[in-house]
Amino acid sequence: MNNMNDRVEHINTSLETAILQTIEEMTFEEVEVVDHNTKELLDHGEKYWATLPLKKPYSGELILQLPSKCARKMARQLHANDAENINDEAIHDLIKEMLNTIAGRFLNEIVQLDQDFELGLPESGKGDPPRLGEEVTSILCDVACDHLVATVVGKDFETIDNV
Amino acid sequence: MIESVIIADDSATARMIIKRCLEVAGVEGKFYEAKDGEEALKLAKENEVDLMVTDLNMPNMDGWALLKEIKASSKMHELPVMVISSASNEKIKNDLLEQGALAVVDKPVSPSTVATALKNITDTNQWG
Repeated sequence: MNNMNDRVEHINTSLETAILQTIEEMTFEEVEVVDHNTKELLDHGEKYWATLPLKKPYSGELILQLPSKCARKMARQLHANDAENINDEAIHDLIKEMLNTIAGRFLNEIVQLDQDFELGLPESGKGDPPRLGEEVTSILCDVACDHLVATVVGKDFETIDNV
Repeated sequence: MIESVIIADDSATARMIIKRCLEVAGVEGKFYEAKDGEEALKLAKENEVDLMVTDLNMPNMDGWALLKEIKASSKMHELPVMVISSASNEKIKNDLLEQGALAVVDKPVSPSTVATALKNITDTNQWG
């Protein structure tokens, strides 16, 4: 790829694909991309976040933010018969696993087929996510229950050459 | 016939989904759950199991190290290993198969992808 705009577009497309496939396959919720470069959720109510380090070949972080009511709805759908047992721990676990899967699919899209890649372990919390570095791109998505925001931060992405 | 399975994944959500997919794919019997490779290895040493299903990215002992330990063990080296991970492209899948995994499945899993992987494993193994 020749310039940073092409690379950011490639990152956006790859991240969109990873989000759509992961959430639709995991939770059966329909997802639609609403906007790029929206770092915060539109509704500033209670929210969950998860972060996950990208270690190899690009170093950075992926961040996922989800309104509480949306996270709870997804957890209830996933747990089906066990829905009454959904607690905070189950929601944190779900959002971390969702981000872990998104991250793997995202790297699959942007890393060459013959290249190794490595992810770190996810962390999660409530409220505003930590500021982790220089933002590359953010995507606001509409899911059936509300919105979610996925953000990529890092400095190595100018070297992406997987067209 | 697969009658006992260890599912190693640090996410309880992932373990639940994998267990559900295995059940839909026809696996009946005992399921042991481990949240990292160390726990999975301990369970494999203490119990007679027919299949190890493991994630790659886990704390303490990851899926790579778990696979290596199983294949290096004189008692467990024939235990079939299925890797289920989001962190795998063609190179990583080939590396895992070379190191002894019998199937590599992408997350998020579905009953059909798990069933296909199980068929590949049962086709290459005979359970008494």
